[in-house]
Amino acid sequence: MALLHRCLSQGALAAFLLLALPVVAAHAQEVEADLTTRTIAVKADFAGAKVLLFGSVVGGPGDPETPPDIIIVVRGPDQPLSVHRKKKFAGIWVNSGGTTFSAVPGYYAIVTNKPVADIASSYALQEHKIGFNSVKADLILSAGGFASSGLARDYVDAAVRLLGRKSLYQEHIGGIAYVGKHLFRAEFELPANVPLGDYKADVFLFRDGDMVGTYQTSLTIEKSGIERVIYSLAHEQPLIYGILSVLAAIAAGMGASAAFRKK
Amino acid sequence: MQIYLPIAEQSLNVFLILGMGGVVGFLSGMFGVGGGFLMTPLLIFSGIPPAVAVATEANQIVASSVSGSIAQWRRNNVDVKMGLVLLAGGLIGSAVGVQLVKILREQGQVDLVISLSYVLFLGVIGSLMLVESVRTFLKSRAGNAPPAKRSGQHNWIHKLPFKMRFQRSKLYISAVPPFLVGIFVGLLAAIMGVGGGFIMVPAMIYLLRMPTSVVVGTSLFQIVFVTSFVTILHATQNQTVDAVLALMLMIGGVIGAQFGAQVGQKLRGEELRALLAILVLAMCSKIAFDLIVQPSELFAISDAIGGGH
Repeated sequence: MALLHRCLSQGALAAFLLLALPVVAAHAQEVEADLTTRTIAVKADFAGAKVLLFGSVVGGPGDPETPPDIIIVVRGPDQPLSVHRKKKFAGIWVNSGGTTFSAVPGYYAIVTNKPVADIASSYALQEHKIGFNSVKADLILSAGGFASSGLARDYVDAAVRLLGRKSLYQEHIGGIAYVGKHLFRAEFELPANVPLGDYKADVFLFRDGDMVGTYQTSLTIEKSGIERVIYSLAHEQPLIYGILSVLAAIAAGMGASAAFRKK
Repeated sequence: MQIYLPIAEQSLNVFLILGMGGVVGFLSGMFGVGGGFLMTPLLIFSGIPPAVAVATEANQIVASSVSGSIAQWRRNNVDVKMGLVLLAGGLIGSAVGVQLVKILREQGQVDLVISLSYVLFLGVIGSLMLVESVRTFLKSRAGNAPPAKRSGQHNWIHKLPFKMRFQRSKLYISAVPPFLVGIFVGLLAAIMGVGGGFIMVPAMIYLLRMPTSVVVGTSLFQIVFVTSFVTILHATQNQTVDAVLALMLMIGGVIGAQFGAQVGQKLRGEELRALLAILVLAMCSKIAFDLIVQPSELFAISDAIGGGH
């Protein structure tokens, strides 16, 4: 039932995009893109994945001989995130102050064909909500209960830095390559700890610092096979899951004891 | 070869997990201990969230204590009545402990409490074992047999109410001390992911004065049920039991324990205890060091409240 609902909502999203895009891109540069995989299945041997995004740029203003600059942003589902700060208390380091941000992108990758600063001004990037500074700005706006804005900024910086350390936030300058004049390809990596859910990949075209075209495509990451069975059982039927885990352990213990006895 | 752990939501090397299970299984077979107090810190060191490590390790201990208690049961080394009193306390203690873990998770303090519990218990138990084994070693050098002053002592325990007769242990004592020991061990099982044999066995020998022959069997009997209960409670309250991780640890553990038991028979008792004490103290120092040294990163993140969806 939940699956059916998800399929319907994805269908609705796709339909919405189909309707919306031609309007947005009416007098702009045309760009079309797709991913090599629309669905990533997290199975028992999942150790992260590489996803290839390819697309083409057609027509538009400017010199057709020099292709526009490209920024691709891949953004994972929003999730609550707790951030704690350690303080020294009685000789040991303990989590003291803490806050919870209600909606933090679980994954955020920005891939560009050259340094972002050479593509567009920070003002333009902020306006189109591109980049980590934009993520931080959103988080600072959503954060409440901080004594000072400086403190809020410390927490937000730490959240983005630590997600980066887990490879969930990535910046890959020069990760886009043109194949000829119109075709481009970009690669981004999903680490093994990547959150599950619906992802959006936005392609932004810039020429001389101005945005001239966009395109959006989507990606779903879901557990499949035995991993999916275990995960959904653990969260939807936790009592049955717990009892089964115990029964499996008892069977393993009895099996070991029987094997040992034969010797 | 990596394997994705569905509840820990990360992938780990299969051979690393099997290896950890094997090494800890080897040590527990060699020393005759449960191994939870070694495995839980190892899992945390390898990046498993502490709450998942504790709950998953409880699940693994079910397997190792089942096979251990079957062997003890066959030799008639289980005092079922005493085991049931310990178990009654254990169920209460573990129910409280799991609830405590849930609250601490919401406060962002669960890692600290798990680490502090480990430093405290590993430090005390390791030091006591080291002192005791060195003393035994020195005495056997000097040629004196260790004095056996166990029976016939009257202590405060005999003044407590609710006296019960425990036939298998040849004891007539109050049910209150074993019940309290059970509560305490249940708490430790829920918070630290240990069976609690390292607390229960000394308590049975020195506090309850049970005959040593039934101590290990009775403690394993209680551990089977308490860790089963803890596993189910963590599964329902915290969704932190990773069945895939637990199963891999069980496989490694079973194989390791077979070899460990064979090696253990060739070593002398006090040597074994001294080795185990050093191991326990090393583990304790590592955890304490991590708490005391200023971390390079003062911030920490965790997916908020209850984890999950």
